[in-house]
Amino acid sequence: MKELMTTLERYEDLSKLLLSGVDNIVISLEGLSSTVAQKLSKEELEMLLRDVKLHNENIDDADEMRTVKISIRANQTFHEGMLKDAEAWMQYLSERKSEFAAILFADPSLFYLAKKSQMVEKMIYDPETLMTSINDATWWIQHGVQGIAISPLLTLQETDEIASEVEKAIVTVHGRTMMARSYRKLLTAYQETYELEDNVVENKNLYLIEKTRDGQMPVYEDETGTLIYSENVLDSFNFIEKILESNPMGLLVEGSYIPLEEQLQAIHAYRRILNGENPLEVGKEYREQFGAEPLDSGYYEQKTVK
Amino acid sequence: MQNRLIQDIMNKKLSNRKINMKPELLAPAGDLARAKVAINYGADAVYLGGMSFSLRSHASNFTMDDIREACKYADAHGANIHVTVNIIPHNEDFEGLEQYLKDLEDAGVTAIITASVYIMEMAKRVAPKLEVHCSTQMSVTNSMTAQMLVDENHVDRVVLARECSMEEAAEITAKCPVETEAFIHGGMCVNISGRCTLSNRMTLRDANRGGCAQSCRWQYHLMDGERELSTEENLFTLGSKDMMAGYQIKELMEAGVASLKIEGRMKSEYYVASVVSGYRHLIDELYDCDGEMSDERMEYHINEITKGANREICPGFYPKRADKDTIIFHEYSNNTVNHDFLGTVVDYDGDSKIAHVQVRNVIQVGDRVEALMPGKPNEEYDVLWMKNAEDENLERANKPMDIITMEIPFEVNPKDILRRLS
Repeated sequence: MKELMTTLERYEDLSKLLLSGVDNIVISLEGLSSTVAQKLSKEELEMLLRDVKLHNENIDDADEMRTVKISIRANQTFHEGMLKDAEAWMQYLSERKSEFAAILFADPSLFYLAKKSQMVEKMIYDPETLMTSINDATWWIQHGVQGIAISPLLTLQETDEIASEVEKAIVTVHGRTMMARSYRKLLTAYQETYELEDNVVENKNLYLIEKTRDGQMPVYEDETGTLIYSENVLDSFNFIEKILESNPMGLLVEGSYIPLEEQLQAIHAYRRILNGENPLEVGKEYREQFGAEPLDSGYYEQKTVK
Repeated sequence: MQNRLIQDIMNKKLSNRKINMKPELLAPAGDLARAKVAINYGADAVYLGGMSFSLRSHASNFTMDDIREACKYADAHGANIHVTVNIIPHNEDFEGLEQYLKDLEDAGVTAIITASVYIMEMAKRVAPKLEVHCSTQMSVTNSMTAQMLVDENHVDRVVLARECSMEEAAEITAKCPVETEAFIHGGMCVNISGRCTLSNRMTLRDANRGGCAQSCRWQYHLMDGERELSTEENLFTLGSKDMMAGYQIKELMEAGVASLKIEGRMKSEYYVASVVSGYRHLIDELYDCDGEMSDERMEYHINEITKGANREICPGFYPKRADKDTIIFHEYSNNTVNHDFLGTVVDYDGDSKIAHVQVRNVIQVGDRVEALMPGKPNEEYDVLWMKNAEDENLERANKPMDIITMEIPFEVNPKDILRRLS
């Protein structure tokens, strides 16, 4: 079964996402995640797991509501001093592993800790830019992980080849993708250099425009460093048939820097496609509704050069 | 018995040392000539890229014949060759890889540097004599990642991410079951290695496959909603200053880091000679004095190392998490030319003290010049006169690659490098 996945950007969005038609909600946690999304504390996580459990228990056969799973985005690069907290989180999660579906990780230290906690089968390797070949994907699958997330930098053909071969792949189909991440606090550095009084830390209204271009690239800084997101919003309506033929494990709608209504409508659109509706027609409707957004097809038809 | 006593004394002496091991000095080379220069000037090992599978596609990479010759040259001088196989591979990039790895092993290459777990496994399988060093593209910033790479990939060396502090480098090195390697000099990505796609987005040039357009160094408007925080005069940039960790070498040696790496496969012969020579002398002296170096001597070495620098420098993340002092907040060209490199010695007659010199930058009568000579201390002289190939006197030699004659009051050898002192 192909799961439709999305990210939880704010805790307050949970109730609407639970009813959105999504199968799997990817949440971020304090100390494990590096993203613009709200990072939940342990208490908030417990509250969320209770809410989701309640939602799932109240579904009956006649209802159109879907059972929803929770996955965790643990994509931070861990420095030596952070290992203790990461280990404590992994231990905690291993004790509650029946309550969530997966941990999406980038730093191999979490794979090491997952082995120690005997929950490698919960791990999905998601290093954003680095998962670019069948061979590397297969290596991780052979080492027991639940799946891998394909880099959104690949062409449709490359994506299709990897997903078809490993059969345990997540493909990002919609939303803004990560363009760059730095361990440096680049906005603070700029602020201090030019003595700006504006708040640049954890400010979600900031974006960059390259001097000779128009695209607006959201930029965000917190304790984990600086993140730059793509100026365009990926949509896959013209390519989704081919993607579905490759039988991926999951289709991810990224919620970063798109309004909740747009995120909900994107989920709705991909759900309709998974339910058998014509992708081109669904895509056309979606684009009519969100035509002002910088939608594009990412790298599906654009091959990068060496 | 006497031998055992001597050994005990030696052991005791060793155990009392703060620096127990002289680390490898690992230098970059963009071609065979630069590989030889690096070895001549004191590199223990040189890393280079082949025609395929390597980042820095714009560096003049090596053919397999070049790699064989580099290995022979290195072997004859007690040095090693490491080859970068550090692209983040796409499906199409594996073609020919198995044979390539076997050829590297046959050529006498000591190690490959790679970021792909599959390439690590393949190398161990098809070319078992090759050491596998995990690339900095893997962003190793903690000891558990290092341990995982050893357990699962059987890597022989872990290259630390440039984002590591000195404390972290020391702790990872102490806990890591295999040796570690750390960067000490050269260019730094402002973003986490391998995790930046600015170049891909802006130019379709794949940063993880050698095509980086360095879009981080371009200029950007920084906006807060509709309001611009930047100004036209001071647009936002992300370019990092280069690393110069001369002051941190002692601590890295005390921490037991096995290899100290200079970045810059696209740099010139002069840069390679100058920087390698500078660090060679610093490392040797630090080892000899067990780290007890005077400030004056340290400043001397730093001055020598930075003579080859042509960009702004910083110590990277070693002293603290890199801040505003490590960023270049102005537009600049990456093609800054260092005008101190004046020429190379073609030949020298010891009786007449006359040298033929190949000109690389403008030389003028009266210039104070320093000769960089492999294995010897630098020496200085004044240019008293110069003649061109027609035996005409020159006040100014300004045609690159021309051969001129001049007097040099001490013995120099072919390929020795001449640079301006003032």
